[in-house]
Amino acid sequence: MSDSTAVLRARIDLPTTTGSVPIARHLVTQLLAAWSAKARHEEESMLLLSELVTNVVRHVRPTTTFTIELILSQLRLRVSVLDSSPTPPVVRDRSPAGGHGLWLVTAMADRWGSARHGTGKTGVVRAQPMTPPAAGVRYPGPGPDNPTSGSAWMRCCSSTQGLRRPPQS
Amino acid sequence: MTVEVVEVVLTGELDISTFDNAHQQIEEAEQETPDLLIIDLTELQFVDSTGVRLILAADQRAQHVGRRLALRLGAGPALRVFAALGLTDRFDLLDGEPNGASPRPARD
Repeated sequence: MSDSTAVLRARIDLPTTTGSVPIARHLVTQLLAAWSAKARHEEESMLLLSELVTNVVRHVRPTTTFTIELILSQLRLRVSVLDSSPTPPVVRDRSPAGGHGLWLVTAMADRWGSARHGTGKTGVVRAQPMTPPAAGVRYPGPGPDNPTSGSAWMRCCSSTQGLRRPPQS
Repeated sequence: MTVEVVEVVLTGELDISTFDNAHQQIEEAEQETPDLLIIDLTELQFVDSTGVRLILAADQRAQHVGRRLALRLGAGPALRVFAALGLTDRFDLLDGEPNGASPRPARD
């Protein structure tokens, strides 16, 4: 599905500080509620978002901002986390000092990765079922690129270029 | 022989923004030099891998001084994170509510 079918968008710029981690979760939770697009597995979604934003605030210069981009189309919610560092996230060995966040993303996400954009990068791709949008919210009609009938997809923290697509039926 | 038990109950949301506060609460409990330190994560509304980092560090300190560490993970967000990382077998896990004692028993 291309972005041209998206009907609801939001971009949230936040300072690269630890305080932005809970704010990001709370904002996205409220946005999903306002869009009547509450994810079926919202807890997992918020956990993944928290890990991605945490990764940004731990490893990117605090003088910058990062951006969360949400695009809700007919059957998918795509959440991208964009930061100013070109260094890709690296899954490293786990130790008491850290390394668990991306392991957690690996364990819980259906898929993930990152892509360069300009001088920075975008974090992690995820796909997950979400509940159908509420009645009364207008969405484009079904298209050939919709996922399996009866299901829907949420994309968490994908990239703004080179997007991976959910499996086609 | 009396076993000195101190239990810390963490509440609210545990992430990188609240790590220092949670770490401080655990360190204060450790300063009471209990034989058994219980960390209760069941009342957390949210916890991410920051919580794992917090507990693994506490476990390292416990091993260093020969103190027993046990966790309450409940069935909510804490269990989700520890289970996803395959860490539930690594710790002594306790069920249910605190064992009749206040979370931070007063010392006489």
